[in-house]
Amino acid sequence: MSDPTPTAQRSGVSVHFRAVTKEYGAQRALNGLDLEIKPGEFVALLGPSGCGKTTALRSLAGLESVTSGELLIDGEDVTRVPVNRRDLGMVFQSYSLFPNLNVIENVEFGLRTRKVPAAERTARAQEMLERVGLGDFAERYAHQLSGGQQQRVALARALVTRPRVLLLDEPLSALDAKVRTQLRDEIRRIQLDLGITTVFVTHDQEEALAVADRIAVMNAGKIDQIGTPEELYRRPETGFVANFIGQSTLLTALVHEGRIALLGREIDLTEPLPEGALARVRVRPENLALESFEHGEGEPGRVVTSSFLGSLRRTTVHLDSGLSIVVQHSAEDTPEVDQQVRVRLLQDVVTAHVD
Amino acid sequence: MSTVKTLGSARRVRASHSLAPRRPFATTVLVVIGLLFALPLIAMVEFSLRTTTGHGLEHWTGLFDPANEFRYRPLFGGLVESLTLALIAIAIVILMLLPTTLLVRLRFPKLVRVLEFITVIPIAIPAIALVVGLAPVFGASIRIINSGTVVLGLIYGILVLPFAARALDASIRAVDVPTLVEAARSLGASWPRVFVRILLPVLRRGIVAASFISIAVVLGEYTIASLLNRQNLQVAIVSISRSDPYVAVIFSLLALAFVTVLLAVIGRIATPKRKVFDV
Ligand SMILES: Nc1ncnc2c1ncn2[C@@H]1O[C@H](COP(=O)(O)OP(=O)(O)OP(=O)(O)O)[C@@H](O)[C@H]1O
Ligand SMILES: [Mg+2]
Repeated sequence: MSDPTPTAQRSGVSVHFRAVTKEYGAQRALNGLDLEIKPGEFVALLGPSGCGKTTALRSLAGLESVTSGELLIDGEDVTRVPVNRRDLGMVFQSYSLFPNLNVIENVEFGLRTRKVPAAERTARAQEMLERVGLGDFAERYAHQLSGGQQQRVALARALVTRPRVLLLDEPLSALDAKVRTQLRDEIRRIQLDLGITTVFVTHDQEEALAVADRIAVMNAGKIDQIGTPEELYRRPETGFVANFIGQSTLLTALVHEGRIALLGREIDLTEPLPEGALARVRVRPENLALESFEHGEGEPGRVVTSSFLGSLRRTTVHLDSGLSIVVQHSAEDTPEVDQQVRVRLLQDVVTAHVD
Repeated sequence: MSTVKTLGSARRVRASHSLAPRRPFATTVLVVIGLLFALPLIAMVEFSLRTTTGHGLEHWTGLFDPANEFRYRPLFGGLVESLTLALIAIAIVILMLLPTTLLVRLRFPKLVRVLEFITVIPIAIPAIALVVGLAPVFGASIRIINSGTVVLGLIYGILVLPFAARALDASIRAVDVPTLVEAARSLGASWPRVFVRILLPVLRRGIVAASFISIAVVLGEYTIASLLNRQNLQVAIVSISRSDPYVAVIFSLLALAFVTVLLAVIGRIATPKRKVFDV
């Protein structure tokens, strides 16, 4: 295991999953997963519980052997390379600091296995600890640290060897909300600093949207769609993605003369659909407006719940047509439960699909 | 580890509140139990000090009288034999039971129950029944290995399984061993390095506890050794008690003291100098 020159900051390497399948008995955790990650890119693997995110990450790390398919790092086939020779840094969901070693010894562990001389080892470990904001904690043991601090040390330990790829499996899920956003942004900052290719597993879409260059939405063992946060948010290619990224409501309407009627309005379509087809449209809470029942336009309904989100509110309305729909609006409007309101679509043009 | 810690502090908190038994009651219980343990010991000491004229140290000093060396030689021989047997049993625990337990935990978690069951078997089978089954094996093995001590040591290795397995298991459960191993592996460590640098130190308490309990079991074992005609410490004590009951009692006391000292020493070793586990 040759170590890169101590001063040169390695720019990221590429990672390829090629038709990776992983079976646990009859259970298919990965089902022909294809994923291409560019050098230095921060990719979030996002998806519901059990969709295979952890399995994908562990396969790349070499902690699981794949049933078929290939894994390439920097163009090199690593499918059969054992975990300790893959030169990757990993941060686990559960706390994983070695309890018999103190913080700096933990961070030095990977450098010891690479036979880095003692003086350089300590200097590099200390530098990395300072990078994660724990320069003064070198002598502590894991049980003397908070959860967030432990994960910082784990991050420093994974990064100090200058691995080819950084793998993070829900590293923040055991932390409370405030520490979570803080550490999340810090991980992103350090990642950009080092330019290291990073795969970040999460089931929290907000987390993925906030830090990733691209998000790969996983469903049932494969990637449903991969794209920048904006792409996924604005142009979801499947109902699954649309549903998973952001909140949305599915509306259906018949196509008539190239237009459809939604929430009491005639709307244009971005792409033409055949006359009489049943068009399906996803609308997001921010593309809807809440109007007064007496004076406004839109489809009538009754308020079910309304929640305060700081600068804005989200209100669920049960439409008279039988559908429930979520509307986002200014926090100054405070609808009451059971109040009669109208919901209006703010878009003039929508993208519709037919099945 | 954090769970262990929480439990510990929870227990402490509870103890200081009304759920704990009242002090006089607790004291009474302690005194009664203490007497229960102390009475036989006091009686033994008293017995070993009896002389034809009253009380004295003559049986104790006689132990070191070269004139008696011939009579006591089997005792010392039995002691050496028992210690050798204990070492073999410990070797089996560390070289076979520990790797097996780790392998099952890390690679074949479905077999955890099976292993648990297998390790309890020796405790469920009475020693007599064990010997009936082991005697032919013992005879056959001696022809191959040609050392009664080694073969009996292997048998003792089986005998201590239930106790040693519990001790090891407790220390393995106290930490997230699979994650620690994966973390070490992902940092580039080979399996031997993971074992020496991470597993042995992290599981040190369990290993030491398992070794100690093995020594205690082996030093106290009489039935199997006697039925297989091996001269270990207990067998020697019993046979000498027929001619010299005083020396038998003295040796029993010394064995007890030895185990107690061992417990203290090992307890000291097991506690890391830098406080790693504050349990
Ligand atoms: N060791 C295993 N044995 C059998 N099945 C497994 C094993 N590990 C995972 N699976 C199955 O593989 C599928 C994918 O699991 P995986 O842990 O990758 O999901 P995940 O996306 O990480 O979910 P979560 O968000 O809950 O962590 C699941 O259906 C799971 O039950
Ligand atoms: Mg997971």
